[in-house]
Amino acid sequence: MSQYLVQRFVWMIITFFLATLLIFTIIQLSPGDFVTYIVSQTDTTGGLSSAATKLREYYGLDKPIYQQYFQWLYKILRGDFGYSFLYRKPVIEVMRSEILWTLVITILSFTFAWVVGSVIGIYSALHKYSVGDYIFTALGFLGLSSPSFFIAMVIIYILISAGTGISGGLFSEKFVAAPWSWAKFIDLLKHLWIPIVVISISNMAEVIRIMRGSLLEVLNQPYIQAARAKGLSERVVVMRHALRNAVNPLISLIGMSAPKLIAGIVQTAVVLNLPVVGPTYLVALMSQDVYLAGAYLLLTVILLLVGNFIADLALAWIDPRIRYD
Amino acid sequence: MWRKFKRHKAGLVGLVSFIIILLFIIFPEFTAPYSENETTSYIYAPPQFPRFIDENGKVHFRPFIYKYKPIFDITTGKTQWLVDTSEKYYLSLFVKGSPYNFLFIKSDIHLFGVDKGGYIFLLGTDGIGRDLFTRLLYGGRTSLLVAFLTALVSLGLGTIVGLLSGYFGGLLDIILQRILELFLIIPDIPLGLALAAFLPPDLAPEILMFGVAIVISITRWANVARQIRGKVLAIRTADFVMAAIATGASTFRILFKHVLPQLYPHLIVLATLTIPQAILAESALSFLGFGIRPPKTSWGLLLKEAQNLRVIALYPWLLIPGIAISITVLALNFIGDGLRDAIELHS
Repeated sequence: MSQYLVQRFVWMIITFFLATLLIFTIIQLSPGDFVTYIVSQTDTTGGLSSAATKLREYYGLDKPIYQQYFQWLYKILRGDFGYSFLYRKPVIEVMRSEILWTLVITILSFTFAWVVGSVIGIYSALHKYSVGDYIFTALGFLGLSSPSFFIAMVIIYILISAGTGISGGLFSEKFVAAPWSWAKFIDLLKHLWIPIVVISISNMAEVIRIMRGSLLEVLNQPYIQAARAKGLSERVVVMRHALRNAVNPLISLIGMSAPKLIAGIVQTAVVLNLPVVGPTYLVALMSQDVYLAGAYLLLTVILLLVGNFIADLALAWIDPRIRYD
Repeated sequence: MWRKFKRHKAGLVGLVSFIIILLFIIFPEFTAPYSENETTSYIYAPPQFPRFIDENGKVHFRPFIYKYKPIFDITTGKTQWLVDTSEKYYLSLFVKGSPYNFLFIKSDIHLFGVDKGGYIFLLGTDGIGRDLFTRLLYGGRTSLLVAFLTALVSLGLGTIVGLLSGYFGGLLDIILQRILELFLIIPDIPLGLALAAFLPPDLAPEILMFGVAIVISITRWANVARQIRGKVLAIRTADFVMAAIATGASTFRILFKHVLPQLYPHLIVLATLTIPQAILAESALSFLGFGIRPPKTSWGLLLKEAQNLRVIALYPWLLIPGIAISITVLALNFIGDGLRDAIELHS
């Protein structure tokens, strides 16, 4: 088992480095660089080339590409994510509060999608072809087929027409800058459920489908029949025997669905005005703020790599067959 | 196999719906009453339903709509549109409208419209008076075209990589698999945004569509490659492949003449499932401003215009393109599911 873990860990590190290479390449693909952007923004003609050269020197943009890459990589490994040209602050400061909220929302949505999704999936499998099954399957499909931002917009529309004052963001106006209090926490909850529901819907649909299919498949197996023949109660049969095997494909799904979760957050953040990393990322891209955009992508990749690793651990723990592969 | 597909009711429903949608979208110059960017003075007009019964209770055979009368509200500074029952505009089929050019067909006949001087806005208008129904059809064509191109490119790339990886195995496989994992780990939308930011802003609209398709393909191909690789691994050990190798067939020949044809059914299923994902991806990119740009329009771009809260609250019909996306994606997903059931049981 430890050999398996070490192997996965090493691959994680290697993938991380490959990812840095890829991300850096992509960021640099856009023609010009940050100085070009500044020039285009200041809207002056001529006489700027010397200033541009000085700026480039100042920001370290005149060095050859591979040198820039290694400098960047070196700083990353020491925890310095670079300097945001646009905001004139170290990247970490720009992203600090947003990272917190991103993590909170990600974890909450993930948990919500998976817990509720599993429960619904189990229910669907046990009550196959019932009314509830059909309704959930239909809703699941709808959630799967609609773009996340559209679901967000529809929910906002319903909330606004219903007359509540809630329209996105994480806090109502009066609580935004206020110090933490119980009332503020309640207000947060009132706002938080929207992004969580929206972001988890598409993931939930996937979970429900797979859980349902997997459980149904498992329930047809001979060993389940044997367990029933032994006289075990249906509850024990399902909970202790069927589920443990049915969960297998789901764990593999965790690794695959995490990226979609992040993508969902970026879309929804724009509509709902969430202080997460999404909208700043867009601005960084548009203004070619290389370090900011790169740091965001990198952070996302790190998050996902760690998540995948944990999923691999969980899979190895649950399914002994993997350990001896 | 067609019989098996017919048994999957959802797939059939999906197929029929999609065909209907396709009929409307393929030739919007004809099916839509107006042209893509034609503006009118009817700003933010709500949708109009053709009626058969007028205010006096009289029934007309030909459907008609009432004219809209603008009422300027001093307190809010907005123009409201009231139904003006004094004037009726009758609908007719095959009306003469604005001229258009479709490939080599020059015409000015539209599927339906109203008499001169009147306007019909089935789904309302947007902020500069453009008919939403028209833009929905034009946008649909763009969205579907991009999705189709994406499927082509990502399937092409994914198949080649999957074939190489699955058939040759060994070191090549290991390296390719790591690269695949890399692309699978990076979330598609952020990756797409970064790549799309690279597209120059002054690109011709048609080339931009292709560019967006390529961007989305880069985020999608790894998925295809992984599935193809799995199938190739299974096929590689089949008897007929062994026989081909034994008779001395070149590797190239084996791959393209023996292995690849086995993959065709799976490729079809993959295509039908990639297209809806591409539609969703394109709409997300366009919504965030990194996809299709004006003057072309797409469903995502249409939703972008409905982005702020005021617009959603006051003019909710602008959200309709989202429903179009959902229905189309749903239909395509059902078709894909039906095909997959038919094919997996078959092979």
